[in-house]
Amino acid sequence: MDKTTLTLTPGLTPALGYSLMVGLGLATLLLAIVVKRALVHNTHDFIISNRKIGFGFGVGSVISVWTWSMAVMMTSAMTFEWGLSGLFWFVAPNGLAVMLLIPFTRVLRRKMPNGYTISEFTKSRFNQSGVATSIVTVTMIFGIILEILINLKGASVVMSTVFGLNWSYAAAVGLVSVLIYSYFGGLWTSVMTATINLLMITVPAAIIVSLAFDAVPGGAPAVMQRVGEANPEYLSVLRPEAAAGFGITLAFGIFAAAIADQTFWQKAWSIKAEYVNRTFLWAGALFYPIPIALGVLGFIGIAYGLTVSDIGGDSAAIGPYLISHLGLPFLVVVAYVLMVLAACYSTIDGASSALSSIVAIDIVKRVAPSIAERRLFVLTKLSSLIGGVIALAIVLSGVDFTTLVLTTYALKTSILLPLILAILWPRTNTIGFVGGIVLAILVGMPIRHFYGDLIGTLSIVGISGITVVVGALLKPTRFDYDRLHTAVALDERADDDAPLAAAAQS
Amino acid sequence: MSTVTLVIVLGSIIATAVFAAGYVRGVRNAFGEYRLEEREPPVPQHGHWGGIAFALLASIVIITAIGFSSAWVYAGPFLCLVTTLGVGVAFFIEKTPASKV
Repeated sequence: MDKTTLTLTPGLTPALGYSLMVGLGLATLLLAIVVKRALVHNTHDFIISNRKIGFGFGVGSVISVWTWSMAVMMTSAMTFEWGLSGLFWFVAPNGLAVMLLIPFTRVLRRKMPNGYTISEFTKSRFNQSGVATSIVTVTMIFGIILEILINLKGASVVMSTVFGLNWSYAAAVGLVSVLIYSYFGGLWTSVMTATINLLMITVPAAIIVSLAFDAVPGGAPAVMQRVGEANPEYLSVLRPEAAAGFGITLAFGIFAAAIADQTFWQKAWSIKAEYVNRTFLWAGALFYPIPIALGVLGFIGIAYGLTVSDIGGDSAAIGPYLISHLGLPFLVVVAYVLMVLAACYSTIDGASSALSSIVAIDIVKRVAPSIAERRLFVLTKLSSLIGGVIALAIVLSGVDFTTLVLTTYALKTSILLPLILAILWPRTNTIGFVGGIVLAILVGMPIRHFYGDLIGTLSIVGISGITVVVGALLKPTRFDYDRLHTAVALDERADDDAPLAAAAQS
Repeated sequence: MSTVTLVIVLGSIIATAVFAAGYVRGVRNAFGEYRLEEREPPVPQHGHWGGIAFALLASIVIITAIGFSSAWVYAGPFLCLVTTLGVGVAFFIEKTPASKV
């Protein structure tokens, strides 16, 4: 296993790269148009699918939107950097985060059956508090924009590594390809296309990983032997430095990402009530194989003695680099690229759909409660493009989006425990909720800056949780969750405005 | 192509077939149920903790096992097919509009 023997598979031209991006978008657009004609006729359909998403589409789409393009590559990168400890800390919290949403979906779906967004829940939960609602709304929007950016980065890394594309052009072409189809069908399109995208991830992942080990002289036994010789600790899941270095922080980040993500809450309110809990259980459990399968590619990188500088300076490129340099057939490389693009498109589409629900319910309906259905529908459809347009502007401007990453991290980690307590603990009040988030940011972020990720993250989570408890002690109240039943469903209005909605769809 | 890869390719064909059949059924259900007025059933309030614990432990055991035997490298690819199959089966578990009437 000599890294000098690794050469780029011939025929991977930039034109092919762009064609794959546009082609996947166009193919999905056809499905989106069919779905739109059959299932999407008003705002309620567009943002919540009339609460009729079944078990199969629920499971498929939740796995697909949680399989970020960056995650497809980061799992290999974590293994490449840390061995099995890296794979363990990347994989274990990821599936668990999805499954741990069950206690919350159970409460929210029963107590607030007409809900649409988690910001809307916050509004009802905290006595119409504008501050609490705005904090949650802003957190969700920042999270969605970052989600889009991270997935664009994932697609860009693979396109630049395999086809040599300029990464900002690749991001722009990829984003436009998604936005064109996500505009048409809203959530129904999102779940149906995401489920197909899942098939484009799981089956190629299984075959490609197996073929990759076949392509190495001596196969899997030789690879694992070389990995053990390079460093026996690569074969252990118990490296404490991996836990302290990134594992625990990543685990909190992943839990925060799931809890503070409208993409999941939108699904929780749109999947049929009898399947909602089981959907998150199956999705979390069935998600695990994807990062486990793709993660082991990192071992091939270790076995060949590759370094980060060999693959362009970014460890996330280890997967695409190996697949395009191991001498695998041209079509296998194309399948890998399509797999990453499928992960990218489904997540961005899901994020755009989630954003449209936030704009419709938490912004437009809040500012103009009596807006006509036709106008709301048009605004909702247009809003699904907003996140993408902002992300595109950030990408094309070339600005460093570190500030956005830090802000989103601060908001999401700070909101984690207060939001959990707001859903499960009736004594959580507005002062504790808002105070917890604000104090966690004001005190926790400087701690993180000076003492690093681990202590900083634990401080942020601790401060936010303690403040909620202190707030409950200072002003004892007990929220009656049955009050959440008063949330108004858009479909009741939509039925009244059916002729207007029909006009809007044309 | 190794024997393992050959088995995975054959498994992929079967898993894809089940997935595709399930997908078609799911689309038919979705189209059939559109505007079908029905009373929303209650949200199940029981458990799932056993399933969560099993899934988490299984993932940890598999990752740990890779360090003991190189054969476990192929566990991920095989389980990806289980994911494909699982989603396909999920479509068949859900009730059709006709069965509700």
